Amino acid sequence: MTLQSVNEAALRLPRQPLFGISWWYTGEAVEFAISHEDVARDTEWATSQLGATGLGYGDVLIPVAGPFEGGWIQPFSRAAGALRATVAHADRFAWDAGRVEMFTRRLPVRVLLGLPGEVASALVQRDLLANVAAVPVLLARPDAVSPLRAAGAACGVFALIGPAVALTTSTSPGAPLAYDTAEWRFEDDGAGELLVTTVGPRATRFERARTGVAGRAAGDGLVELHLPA
Amino acid sequence: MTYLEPDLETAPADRIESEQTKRLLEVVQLAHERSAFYREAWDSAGLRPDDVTSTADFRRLVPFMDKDAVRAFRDRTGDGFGGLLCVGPADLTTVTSSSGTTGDPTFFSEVWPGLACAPLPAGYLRALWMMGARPGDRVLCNAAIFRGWIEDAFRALGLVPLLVDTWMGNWGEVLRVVEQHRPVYAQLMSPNLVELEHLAARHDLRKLFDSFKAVSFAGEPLGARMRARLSTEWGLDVFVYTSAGDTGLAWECSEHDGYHLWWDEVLLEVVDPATGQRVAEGEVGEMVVTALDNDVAPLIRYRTGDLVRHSTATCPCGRTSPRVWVLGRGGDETVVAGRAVLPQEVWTAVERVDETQTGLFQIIRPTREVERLRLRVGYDASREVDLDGLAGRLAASVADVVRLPVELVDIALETEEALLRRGSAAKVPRVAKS
Repeated sequence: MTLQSVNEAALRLPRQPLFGISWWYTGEAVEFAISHEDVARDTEWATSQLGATGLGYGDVLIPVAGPFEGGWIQPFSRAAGALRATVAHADRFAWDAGRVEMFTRRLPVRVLLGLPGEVASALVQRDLLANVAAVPVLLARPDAVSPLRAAGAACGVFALIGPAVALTTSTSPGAPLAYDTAEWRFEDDGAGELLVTTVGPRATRFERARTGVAGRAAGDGLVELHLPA
Repeated sequence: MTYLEPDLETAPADRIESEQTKRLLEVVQLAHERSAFYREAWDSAGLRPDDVTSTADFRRLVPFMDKDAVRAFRDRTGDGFGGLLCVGPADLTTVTSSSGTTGDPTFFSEVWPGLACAPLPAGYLRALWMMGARPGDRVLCNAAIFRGWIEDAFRALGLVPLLVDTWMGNWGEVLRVVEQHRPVYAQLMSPNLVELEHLAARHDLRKLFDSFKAVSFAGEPLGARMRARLSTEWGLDVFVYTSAGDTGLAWECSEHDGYHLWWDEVLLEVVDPATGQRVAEGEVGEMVVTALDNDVAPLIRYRTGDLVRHSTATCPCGRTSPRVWVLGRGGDETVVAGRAVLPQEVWTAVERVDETQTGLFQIIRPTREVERLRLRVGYDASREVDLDGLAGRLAASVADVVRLPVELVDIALETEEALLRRGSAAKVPRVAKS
């Protein structure tokens, strides 16, 4: 019927090499193309990261994101699929805080990834944080860390840094974030901004490109972020 | 070629009938065997699945259900899926959920390993092809994700998504991307229209949009005046789509005359809301749907609450799937001093007025029957507005369209942005209690 046949019909068409064209912002827009091969390698790394959290069959991952963040977030959705976990989607706005809470109340959520400050603040203000805070692995975006910890919710950190992601599941303040060293190298510019260099065979390459993210390189494969207060 | 699957999209009536009947019988057996919700409901109604041997039996024997019944089962049993699941919850690939406009969101459960895109995104594929999108074309990504990664459907069709934030507030940047990459398709929603109206003062939108083969519009109906602005002034070919009663998507075709419900995805019935009896084609009735392509959590004889007219006649576009024309939601009808008023009527009146042409409004009613029609209307704050004068013109326009004395119409004005903040996922509830 429809789902099978329409997927098959589409896949008979010529494939395109690009997963998409994306941007990050440093005050100016920085464009980068993402290939399907890039996403496949990112998915492998994401699978290792999510696998380390224990995510697997019977568990649910909630990525909180926007469609334009597919280059960063979708490898984690696909990784959840590779681990036979279920993915439940929510948007990054305050109006979707209720959906995030509802999922954590009704589903066996093991990992909540990418919770932004706007949603975190709405959860706190609307007294909806209890079930969300009980999720075993809560990975907040940098602007959500402070409101969550102030409200008593332990969280790790998930950050978009230029074209890459970095994360830590440690809930200790100041814990460094890990990134995929097969794809990226981060340095700092001495003035507190992280710079990114492409290591892997990415569709678009960068050499010490500004990320607009405040932080410092903290050893092999690690960065420390200056989190908003 | 405008058909992605010509043999299915233009299938003859006898094939449609035989394949729908085959699937109906399979779905009834499956649901009774595996779904706690249907087993309980049908057993209590005395329905034995083996008694259903034809579409006529199906219509005669299988009881209706609705979202309230699913929520009641959910709240009574603690089963977040409302008893609908025909698979184990751990076997689900994705769970998305409804907008939540009418309460706690309900689940859409999906299993799709090995496929390029999930069921809901797959609902875009035939439509994108019909709209002229072809492999290699660039398209703007959607604005919201609560129904999943729609962009997987774009990729399945060989399109290249431009991953820029298309939510409201960022369309200045989106226009820069449009100018640079010349996409052929975008999805628009009401909040986008408000912002584009403002940007139109500083940008030549017709020129910027001349790369587009089509745009889709979703979330709620598109008013006639705004549709004309999009097509005539900005040069966009607009394809509106809506939910096929939560069983998939229903799209306009190139005729822009009603929404097609894919015959291989959903069985359409239109019934008298009071008696449950079928109404004739062309008559107003409630849309009732049965999912034919969902073995995970099928909706069966699901009363949508949508009031529609319908036709099974072959469309001039050549497609043989039935069409519906949505008139509104039954529950949204407000009785003002004995006169029934539908949101669509108010819509027409509001968008007539220049400062409120984006058609943002809410009917404020503590109860379904009221003595005065109270409206909250969003106005364009980027222009100079005489609020008292605007309220008077709006009241007169509304009174004219809904045929009420103007002294029974109350208008409360606020900016479009303030009104949008009252909404949830890209739409403003058209009826509010306060």
